[in-house]
Amino acid sequence: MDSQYSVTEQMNRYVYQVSRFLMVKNKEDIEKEIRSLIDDMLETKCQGREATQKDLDEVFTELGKPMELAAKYNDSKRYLIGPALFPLYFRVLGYVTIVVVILSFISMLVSAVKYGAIWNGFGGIFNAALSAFAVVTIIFAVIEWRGLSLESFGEADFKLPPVPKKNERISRAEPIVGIAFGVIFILLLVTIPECIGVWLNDQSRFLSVFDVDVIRSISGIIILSIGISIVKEVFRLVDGRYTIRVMISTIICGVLTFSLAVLILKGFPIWNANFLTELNASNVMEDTLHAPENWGMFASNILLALTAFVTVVEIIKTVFRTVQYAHND
Amino acid sequence: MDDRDEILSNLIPELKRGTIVLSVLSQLSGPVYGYSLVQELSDKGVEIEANTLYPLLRRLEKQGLLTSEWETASNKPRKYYIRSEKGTLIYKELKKHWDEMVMRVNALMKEENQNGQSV
Repeated sequence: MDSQYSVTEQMNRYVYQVSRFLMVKNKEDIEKEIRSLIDDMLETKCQGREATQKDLDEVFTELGKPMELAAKYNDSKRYLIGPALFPLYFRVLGYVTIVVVILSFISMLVSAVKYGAIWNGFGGIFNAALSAFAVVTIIFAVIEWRGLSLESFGEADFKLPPVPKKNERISRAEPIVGIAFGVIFILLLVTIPECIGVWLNDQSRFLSVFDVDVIRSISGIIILSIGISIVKEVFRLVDGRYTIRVMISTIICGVLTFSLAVLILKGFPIWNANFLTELNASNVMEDTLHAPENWGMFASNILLALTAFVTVVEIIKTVFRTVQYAHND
Repeated sequence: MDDRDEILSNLIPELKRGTIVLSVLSQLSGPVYGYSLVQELSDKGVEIEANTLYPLLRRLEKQGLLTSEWETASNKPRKYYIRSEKGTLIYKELKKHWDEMVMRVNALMKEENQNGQSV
């Protein structure tokens, strides 16, 4: 009698566990059916003798763990993010995580330099990455749950772009590095221009190469100028090859960025006029540095020449590649 | 060649999977309860585990291919399943497809034999 009680109790427990994971209607009916199945299996196994715990264990093993059995009863395969969506999810997650980690790393550096609080920063990066992960996952889970197909994102009409030839592709690293550097420059120039320069050990401070007040006053133009070049990189990242759109954005953004660079470098006294004097006054350098008084103009010209060179090369390369691989699509 | 068994043990269930519905439908012209169907099929050399068959029976019922009824007259309540009219129609169609498929696949394999490649 005792063992019979135990068998019934064990069966109840098993059925209850299965039921907990059922996501269908008629749970009671399934429970009843599983009970009758276990009864039948025990009867076949025992052939008239009383069932023992060992018999019951064998039956349970045959049926599988409660969660697995329940999964077989549950209608369709349910995914948080299904196989159709997963590759896109994974890619987006990668981009977002990289961007968020870079941004929070920079903001950590900035706050470390400004307030000297570096350790808070590492927790901040982790939190930011975790939040990014959660947000992307939730968005994709909702898409999966609502059964939205990729059609709603315009990817199912099969008017697919041709596979780019090798030289026609723009590697992903290029624009990502470009965007990252752009963001870093903006943050550094706008938030801590006083720290771009030389560390004066004896005075425990940075000697900036810039006139910090001037830089601050034209930060809008600086952000605009670098922001425009980031826009261009975004087009390159999204298209991944030399398209008409990429060509046009490269030309327009190139011309605009260069014009703004001329304005910034030639139109404002951005350089620290006292840089050389203060540098020589400190004991950082063993020898006194002799440089022309108008070194700032010289630096501006070099930077402008570099900008012009890079812009022209990029425009020529882009136009050449775009024309070379022009499609009729 | 060590992974041969492993590959086979993955491929054979895959091959079987498509035949399960056909096997089950073929046995349900009269009322049968789940576990007796497991045993019946097993006696005829078609092994389907109870934890696969029971959910499948419910799915087929939901699709309208089977109807079911609890038999509570005896001291053991059991749920009996039987093919519905729709189920019989579907079964016949499936059977036709199966016959054709077997014929075609056999023809493919026969063709290979005739080309002199040993299997």
